[in-house]
Amino acid sequence: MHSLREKFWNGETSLEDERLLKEYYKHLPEEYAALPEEQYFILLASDPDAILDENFDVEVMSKIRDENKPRSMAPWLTGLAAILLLVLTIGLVRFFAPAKPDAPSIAVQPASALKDPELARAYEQTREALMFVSSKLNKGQEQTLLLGKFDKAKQQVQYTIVQ
Amino acid sequence: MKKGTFIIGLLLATATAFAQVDGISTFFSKYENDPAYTKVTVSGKMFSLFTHIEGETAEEKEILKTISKLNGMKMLVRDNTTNGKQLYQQAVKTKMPGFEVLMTVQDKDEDLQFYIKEQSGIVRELLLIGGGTTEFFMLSLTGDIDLKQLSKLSRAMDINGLDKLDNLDKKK
Repeated sequence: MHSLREKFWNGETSLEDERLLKEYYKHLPEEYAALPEEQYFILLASDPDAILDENFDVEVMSKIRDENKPRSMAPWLTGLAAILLLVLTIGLVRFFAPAKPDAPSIAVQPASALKDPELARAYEQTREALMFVSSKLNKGQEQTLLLGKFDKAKQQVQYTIVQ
Repeated sequence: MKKGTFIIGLLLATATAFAQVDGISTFFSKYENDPAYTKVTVSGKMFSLFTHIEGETAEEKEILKTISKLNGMKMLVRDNTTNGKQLYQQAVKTKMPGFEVLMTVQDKDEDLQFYIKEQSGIVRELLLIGGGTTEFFMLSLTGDIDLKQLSKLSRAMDINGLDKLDNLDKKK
C-alpha cells in the first residue's frame, strides 16, 4: 500500500491502482490511519462523486477574472442616473424651445369687449348668421303651424255649418 | 380576381365618400370668384377661439352654447339682385349626395330649402338655401347641430300674428 501511495503522489497510478487504493481506504477505520496523508485517502475514498468535471477550470478562472474586475455601479443607480438624464434633457428642450406661434394665449373675455378685431368680427358674423338661420327655421316651423291651424279652423267652420 | 374586385370596390367607395364631401364645396366654389357675392367662412380654428368668449346676457349665453357645438360655417350672399328666385331654383336642382331635405318654405317674399346631413341620428350639417325677389343666399353650418336649440335663439323675436290663431283653441 505504501508503494501505491508513492505511485499516486508521483502521478504514476493506473485506474486499477487507484481503485485498489480507494477500496483499501474505504474499509480502513479512521483510527487506524497512522499518517496524515492516510486521512486524505480515507476522505477521498468516502466520497466517490468528488471528481472534478471538465468545466471546473473554466469556472474557477472566470471567477478569478471577475474578482479582478472593477466593481460596476449597482443597477438601480444606473437606472436613476438614466431617469435624471432624461428629465434634465426634457427640461432643457422645453426651456430652450421657441414657443409655438399658434398657441392660444387668449384669456376669457366678455363678448362685448373682445380685443382681437378678427375674432370680434368672426364672432359677430357667426352670431348674425345663427340668428338668421334661427329666424328662418322658425319661419318654416310657423308656416307648418299656420297650415295646421288653418286646417283646424276650416274643420271648425264646416262643423258649425253642418250643425 | 377577388382581390381586383375588392380594390375596385374600395376605390368606388372612396370616390363616393369624396363626392359627398365635395357636393357642398362645389356649390360654394361655383360662386367663389364672383364679386357680386359676399362670402363668409368661419373655420374650425376660429370656432375653437370662440370658447374664450364669455356671454354676458342670457341671449349671448344661448348663442355661445350653440356655437360651442359647431366647427365650421360658410355663407354666400347675393344682395340687390333681380333674379334671386331663379338662382334659388338653380341651386336646389343641384344634386347633393348625403343630404336630405328637412323643410321647404315658399311664400310671396322668398323660397327656402333646408337640408340636413345626419350621422348616427345626429345632424352634422345644416344647409340653408334661400331666394327672394332681391336676394339669394346659401348658408352651411357643420358640427353637432341641435335644431331645437338653434330655433330657440330667435323665437322671442318672431311672432308674426300666430298669437291670433292660437285664440281659436281658447274659443272652443
